[in-house]
Amino acid sequence: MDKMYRKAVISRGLEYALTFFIILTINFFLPRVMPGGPLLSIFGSQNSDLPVVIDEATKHRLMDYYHLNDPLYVQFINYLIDTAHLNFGYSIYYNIPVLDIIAGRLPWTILLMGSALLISTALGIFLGLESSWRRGKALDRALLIIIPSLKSIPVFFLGSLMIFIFGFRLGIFPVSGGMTPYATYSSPLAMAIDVASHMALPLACLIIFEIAGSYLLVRNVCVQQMEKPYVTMAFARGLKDRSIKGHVLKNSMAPVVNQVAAMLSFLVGGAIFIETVFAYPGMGLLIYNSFMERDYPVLQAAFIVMSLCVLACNYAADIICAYIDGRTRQW
Amino acid sequence: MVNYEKATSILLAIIMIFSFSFTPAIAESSKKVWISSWGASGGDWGFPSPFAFYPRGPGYTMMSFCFDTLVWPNQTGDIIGLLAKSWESTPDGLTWTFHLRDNVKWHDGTPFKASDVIFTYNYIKDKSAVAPVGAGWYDTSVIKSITAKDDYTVTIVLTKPYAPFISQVAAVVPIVPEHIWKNVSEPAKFTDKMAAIGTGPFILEDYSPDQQSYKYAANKDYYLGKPAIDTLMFVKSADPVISLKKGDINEAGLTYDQVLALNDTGNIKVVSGDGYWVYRLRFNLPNNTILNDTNVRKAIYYALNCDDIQNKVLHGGGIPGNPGYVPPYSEWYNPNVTQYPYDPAKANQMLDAAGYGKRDADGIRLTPDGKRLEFQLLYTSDSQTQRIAELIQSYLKAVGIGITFKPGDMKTVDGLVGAGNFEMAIYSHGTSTDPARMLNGFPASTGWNDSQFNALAKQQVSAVDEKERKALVDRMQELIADNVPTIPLLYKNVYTAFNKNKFDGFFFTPGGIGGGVPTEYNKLVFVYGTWKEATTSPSTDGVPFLAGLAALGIAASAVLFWGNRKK
Repeated sequence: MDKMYRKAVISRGLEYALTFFIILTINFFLPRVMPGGPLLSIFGSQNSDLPVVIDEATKHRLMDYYHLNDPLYVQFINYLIDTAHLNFGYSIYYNIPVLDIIAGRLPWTILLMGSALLISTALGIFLGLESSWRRGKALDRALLIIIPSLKSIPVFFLGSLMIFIFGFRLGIFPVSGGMTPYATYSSPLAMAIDVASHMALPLACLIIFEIAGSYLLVRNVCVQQMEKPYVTMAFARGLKDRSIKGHVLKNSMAPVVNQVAAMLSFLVGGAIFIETVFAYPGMGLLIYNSFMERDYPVLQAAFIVMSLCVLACNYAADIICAYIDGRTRQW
Repeated sequence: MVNYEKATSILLAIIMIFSFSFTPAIAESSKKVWISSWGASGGDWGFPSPFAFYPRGPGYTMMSFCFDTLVWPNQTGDIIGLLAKSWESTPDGLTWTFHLRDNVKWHDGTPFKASDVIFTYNYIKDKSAVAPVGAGWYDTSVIKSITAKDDYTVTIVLTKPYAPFISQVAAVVPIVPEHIWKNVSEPAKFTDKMAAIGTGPFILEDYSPDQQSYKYAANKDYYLGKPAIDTLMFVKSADPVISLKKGDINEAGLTYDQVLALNDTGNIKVVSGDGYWVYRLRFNLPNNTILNDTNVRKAIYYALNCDDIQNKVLHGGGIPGNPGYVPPYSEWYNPNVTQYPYDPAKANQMLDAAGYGKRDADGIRLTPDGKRLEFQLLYTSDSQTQRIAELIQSYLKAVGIGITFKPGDMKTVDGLVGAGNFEMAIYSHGTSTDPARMLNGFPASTGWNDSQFNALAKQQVSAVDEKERKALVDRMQELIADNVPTIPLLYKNVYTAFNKNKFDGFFFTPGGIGGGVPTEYNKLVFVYGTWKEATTSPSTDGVPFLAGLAALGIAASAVLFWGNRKK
């Protein structure tokens, strides 16, 4: 590891830290400027007739209880201190520590999104390379039409369609949840298969949603590489197709690594829709429900955790890129 | 160089061996297991303790399986004794004496006594700010004192005569065990398994906020008799119609559109109930001078065809609104109030008379100072409310009133209306069933402050004589119909669909449970219902086969890929 590399890693790290602080700040103020407060969830809307017997004194006690009467800057400082201690407080809706809720949900999302990212990237690389290899041929043209048009299907529509076809008409996949509730499994493998089958439809949706990005990128970068003299040289030397492909792919990897990390943030958006459609017990569904209930502590913690994941992946991608491609070290 | 063909064939072999040796997931065999679902709207209603449940009807319902009240409504809506076997009051309605059952045990085996009742009422009052049951579920201020004469007799003294005491307090307050709660200072955060110990027909086995599911086991020693099912589960379903058809769930609460989509497959029975759920048009009465004119609101009422709105929005799954606000199926309904049948000619005439006779080129009326008679309509952006908003727009356009749309999510709408930052809004919510809550909230829920109405409201809660109270409530409905503070557009019915060959006995409690929650999950359903199936057959689905197939497919494509590379 040379000096420049280390310096680059550190300065990039500082940039990400600053970004993270800005996110923390926005994260604090954004829910507070939206109409509708968290107390609506507790004593209901004053416009519904059901829970109405709440007086001003009780309301004030509740506001005190949640420290919502403190000045905004005090709330902000408390928020920063608590965040540093990973203390995200209690959920207003669930009445349990926010960290527990997130610890229960995050693995599901990592499983779903991680698999989606891996498979869609692998498929994208494979198809992109084959497509560029056969540039202008029937396969290339077909893929160029099919893959981007798949991307243009709204992801929640795709989800509903899959539920109808594979879940209902064919009846081969479960349509909601992450696993069969309260099932007893004969072996860990039985459990794995149950989880996998519940994941199949949302995973397929996310892969279809994501594949276009890596496919188009890999195809374009590879097409550029194919025109380089070293490829012509390789052909002239009579190298096997497979080893030429290997060289082309290796030289195209740097932007792909960055793209994968960048895609993660889009995937988070897609996951909210997909998890809601399939009632998948991940972070997306949690964010959606918490937003509907204005559950500030959960919302804030969820956004912090998700943005931390996205930032960490991007940082990792930068480091990997700097490692595989020396030119990118000069930030 | 790795030998890919060898590697893939080994991989394939391993996958195949595993998929054959695989035994499917079995729900739970040879037990009476019932799986219900709240449907797509939600599944997690919080931890089912009286101090932690999510303060809406479903949250209360989930809690009521574990915790009993002194009294409870049955299938016909009559109040029967649960923890109390009988009760009486003094003629002034101020002192109530409850005679408790002496054979009741908490789920942990400790005997239930009068001290638990006294502890509960005092504890809830003390923690009212943070306990869902205290914060709005019943009026804690009506209770002056609560004492025990002996271990099985409790006397409650009220601060004032309170007509709905039995149905809105005694049938609502869940009794908790003193020995568990006496040292709990933060009840909302106490979500240990102990926190769900009650006297109810079901014992909480698991609550999972992650999977949004609940699992209860029958309380075999329940004093009304052993429940008809052994295990009760509530699971989340993204699409209850599909889940019902597939048999993944046995029962779900549905909308009428879902009932139509279900298109009964033979073993499914559908039961409907009074929804006590209203869609109404709300006006910003104090702040909007035009809408503050009663004649304008009446004209708007004449311009709307509520029957048609019901047909186009609920497709028959409800009934049109009633000017007196109390839905016709309620025992408090007064049919003899001013009616506003669909009459656009009359609406036009009234608007002309109110000073909005001039119209602009679009046909929209003009105010005397030349502005367009146009209002912003705030509503929640779900499909049904959206449809209602569109219909209102077209009906009002026909009489020269312009409507612009402002959709938002529920909390945004609540927030804007709460801040008085709107002109007209479409609201949908439970109406509650007792006039104490159905009507007395009107000043807050409509912005209409009528001294005569408010006086009647105060009088009727204290009227212990049923007939006297009915007369007062009738008069309140007349006032509502005469003043049109809000326009009830339609009432939505509730439906449940369930597998009748497995279990039968669902009903909707007239007047609801917990003081007015319209639900099919009155716990008595599971105590007195009939199990129809001998045992649960292990449910196997096509999953393992398919997973194996998918694995084969992946393996095959891997072979192709690597094979291709070798050439």
